Amino acid sequence: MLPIVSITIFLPLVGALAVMTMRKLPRQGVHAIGIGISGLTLIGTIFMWMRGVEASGFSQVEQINWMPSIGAAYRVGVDGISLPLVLLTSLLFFLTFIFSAKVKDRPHAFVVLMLMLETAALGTFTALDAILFYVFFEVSLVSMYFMIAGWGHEDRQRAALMFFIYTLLGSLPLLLAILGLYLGSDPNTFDMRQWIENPPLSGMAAMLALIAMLFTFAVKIPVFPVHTWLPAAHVQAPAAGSVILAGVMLKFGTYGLVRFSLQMTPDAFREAGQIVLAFGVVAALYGAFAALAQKDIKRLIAYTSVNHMGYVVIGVAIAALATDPAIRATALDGSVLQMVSHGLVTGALFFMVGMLQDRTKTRDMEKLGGLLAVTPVLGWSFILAAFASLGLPGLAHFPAEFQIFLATLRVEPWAIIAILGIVITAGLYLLAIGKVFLGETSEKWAQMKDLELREALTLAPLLFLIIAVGVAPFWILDMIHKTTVALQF
Amino acid sequence: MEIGLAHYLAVAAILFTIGVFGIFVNRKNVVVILMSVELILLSVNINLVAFSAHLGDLAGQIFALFVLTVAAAEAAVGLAILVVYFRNRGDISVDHINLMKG
Amino acid sequence: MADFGSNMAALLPEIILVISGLVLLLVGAFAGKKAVPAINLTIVGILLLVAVLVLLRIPDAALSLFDGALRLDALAVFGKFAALLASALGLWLAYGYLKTDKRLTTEFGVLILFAALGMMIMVSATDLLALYVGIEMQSLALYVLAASNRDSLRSSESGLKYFVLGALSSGLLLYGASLIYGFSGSLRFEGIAAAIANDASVGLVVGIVFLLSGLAFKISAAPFHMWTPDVYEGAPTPVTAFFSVAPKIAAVILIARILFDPFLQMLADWQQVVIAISVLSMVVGYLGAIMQRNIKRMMAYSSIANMGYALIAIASGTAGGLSGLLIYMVLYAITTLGIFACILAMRRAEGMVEQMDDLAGLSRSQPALAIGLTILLFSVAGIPPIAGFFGKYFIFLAAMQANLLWLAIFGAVASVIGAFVYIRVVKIIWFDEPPQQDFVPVSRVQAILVASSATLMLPAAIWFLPALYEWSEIVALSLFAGG
Repeated sequence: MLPIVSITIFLPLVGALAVMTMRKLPRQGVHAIGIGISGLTLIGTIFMWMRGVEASGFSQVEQINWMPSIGAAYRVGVDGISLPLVLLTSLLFFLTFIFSAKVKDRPHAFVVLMLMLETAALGTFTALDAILFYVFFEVSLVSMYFMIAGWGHEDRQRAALMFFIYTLLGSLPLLLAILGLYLGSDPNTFDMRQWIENPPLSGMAAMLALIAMLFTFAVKIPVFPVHTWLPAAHVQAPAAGSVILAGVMLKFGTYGLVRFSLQMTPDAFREAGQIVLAFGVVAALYGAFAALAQKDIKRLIAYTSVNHMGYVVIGVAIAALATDPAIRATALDGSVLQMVSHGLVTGALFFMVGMLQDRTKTRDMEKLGGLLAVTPVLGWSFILAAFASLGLPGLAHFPAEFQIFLATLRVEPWAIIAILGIVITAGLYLLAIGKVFLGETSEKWAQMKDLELREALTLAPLLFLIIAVGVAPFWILDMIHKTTVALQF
Repeated sequence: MEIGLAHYLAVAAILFTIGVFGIFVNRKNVVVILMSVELILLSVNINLVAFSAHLGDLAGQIFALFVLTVAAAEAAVGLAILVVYFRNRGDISVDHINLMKG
Repeated sequence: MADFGSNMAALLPEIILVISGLVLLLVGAFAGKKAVPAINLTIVGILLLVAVLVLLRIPDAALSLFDGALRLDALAVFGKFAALLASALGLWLAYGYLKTDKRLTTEFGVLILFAALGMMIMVSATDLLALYVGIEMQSLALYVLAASNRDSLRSSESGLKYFVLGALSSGLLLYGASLIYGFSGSLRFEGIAAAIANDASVGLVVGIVFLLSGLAFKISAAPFHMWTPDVYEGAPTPVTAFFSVAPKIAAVILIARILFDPFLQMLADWQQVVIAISVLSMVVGYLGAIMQRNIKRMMAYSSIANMGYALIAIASGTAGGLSGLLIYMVLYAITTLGIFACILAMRRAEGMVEQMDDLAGLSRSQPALAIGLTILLFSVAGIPPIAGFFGKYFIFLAAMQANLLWLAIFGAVASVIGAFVYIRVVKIIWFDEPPQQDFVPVSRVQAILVASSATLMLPAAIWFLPALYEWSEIVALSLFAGG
């Protein structure tokens, strides 16, 4: 059988190498290659989707021995948790390439970095070998560093450095935890499937490993109080970078939370479940309140990310605490779906902020106003995405958050106070929409153009999917559910 | 009082300490540093010969001969470098070896 | 016990080096200036040839030579090969550089040859006397090399500093050796091991501490690192490149051999010392590196920190630690050589520059060099998927296996500071405004070295790490099976 997973992972890398060799190629050609390669990658992931996942364990596994004596190998595969994220990744990258076709500054390097980042992201979600996972996890960091430092806004160097050091510091505990799991496994192996089947550590060692992993993923997700890199990185990153950062890279943290913390140290996670839950609740509420205080629209969306990812943490913690398998599956379904929804919604929102910034050269909401009249398509799209973000029924976040809260009520009713976050986000989005799109149109913006074709093409699939997931989530939920009901821990 | 191994070791240790101090405390002349290095090596030789006699094993004395030889080579190289330095700097005061901060 | 003839036969590579060194020195003295380039190139060739010869003559079982003074085992072969290759490449790099500056001399090549000879003795010594002679053979050559730019005040000052502190460290080492001799009654590692098995007296502990201090000087581990930044900065750049690779490999292998062979039984006694030196080196190295603007000084501090990591592996005291150490040193050597090849390429029309800011805009003027240097910097920072990461990875693994979890954590945290140091240079290369003047084009040697070292660091060289791992494991087991 054709190794579609590997082909899909490395296709962008091959594309990046190809672009590197073609130094003479004009800008349009480079962007065309980027769009083409990421389009092919999207098709590859759709093939993976059509092959589907099996009821238990991992599907479509591809394996090549690398260092057999230490149990390290190239192993990739998907299950119902990773496949939706893989689809989300390839879609967002494809759209980002379309959106970024306007980049004039060093287009070669830009496309090469984006393609490398795509390989890293796909690899992170599909890796079944802990070393491979870690390598992909870190490569994404390097690429994103260059992305922010090279194409970001005013204060990009500082933000990029902060992002890099912060997340590097964050990821080293994971390395130590991986080494611990490796030394605990018998025979020694880095095969994540083995670790999931027979969690290698127990007792104190498992708790230490869990703490290390939680630290890493908390930085990545990010959870209050280690979230401070996020607003800086988001604000300074170019629109494409923000979309990938929020849409894809934040999911590394929540994906790792499920894949590593929950599946490899389940007992320790159960013991620490209350604490993780508390962190999730605090993150959800903090994100919402902090977003309320923002004037910069990009910062605002960045903080709502903290809020939304907080719900994912709550869902995972509830899954660990739940004793009833049905509730556990519900909580995990909600969490995984929330990751996908957040990718779609926040991706769309960051795209639109990028479009706004291209036109107005500002992100300050106070300076904007009445834009709905001049740019109705952009305005209504933004309103739709904003409503989705605040959890309106019929849009993408609703089925996800609904399931998380449902499970929360059954297991730890106190944690339901996190629902307050929804009220606050509703308020702040209405305020933001009011400031930016309603009211008097200032003279300055009267000549503003509505969406170009390129921009419309970028947004349309996302908006469509936001509605599709919101109205009929089953087509994606079934796949997630297949894996989450079968999870043993 | 019989002079035993401990006495030789004590003398060697004292000489060694003087040598080390000579290198670090001396702020005047690089030649003094070279002399301190020789002092350290000689203290080691006392150690080696004393141990050799005590153990009734010749290896220590042979080692001492090697140390003497190498010390001669070391002194030659050291003085040569010092001469080169002096030609460039016109001065061999320790306080003035400060072109690079360190 | 082998007879004299077979002893000499086993030492054929060393003998070839001695004879060719002496002959070439004479040739250089009589043939005049014209022969200088040819002599230096011949030495590069001889070093490479002897390296191959060493590899071809791997003994089936460890050979004990000259009544146990030297030992020819897999570790010695590994060390000799690495030291010879590093010396050859170092001289090759220096050759082009010195030729451009018209400062190439016969002595330069011959000194490197003798230093390499000293290293070969160091890595195979199993006797305190042989160890001392090997170290001095190497060090005396290195002192002169540091001062080899006779007309430069900086070079002669660095030579003088190196000499004074090097002589002091030899003194410490000798004093330790004399104590070990006195309290164990033997200069041979075998005899020392037997004495320790009988009774590990305090005198031996004091002796090993002195010996370790002396050796820590040689690998520039803190707190014995004071000479390093000055010597690195002052010495001619190709000499610095040579200093930071070959002698380090030899000295680290020497430390591993002496601690893992006779002194392994006293692990509890020396482990704390090694850990303290290691932690201090990482802290001093990386914190010092942050302050630097001169790239050679930065590399000096970086090498101090790297030695801290190597010492973590030694502190573990296991075969896994030794194999991790060898992998780390090989990756460190390749990366460092590559970085120095880049530093040597920092030459404008008016001469060499060595400030980090001079790298600004390199990504535009020389993109290939910029990419190579970036890969190498990421490697030394330990960021995956570049191979340097795996070096650190094996070190941490060894530490955790030896129940030194907190040391692994400390190393991990320190490596973040290190990453900050290197990423700053990367930022200058890629995002700072280029200066008015570009560098002169890189020479072929530099291009080859940068390209090959950077390529080896990439995951594309997928066979490289497994091969290195297999090899290092064989070597590590050779020491542990024998001792």
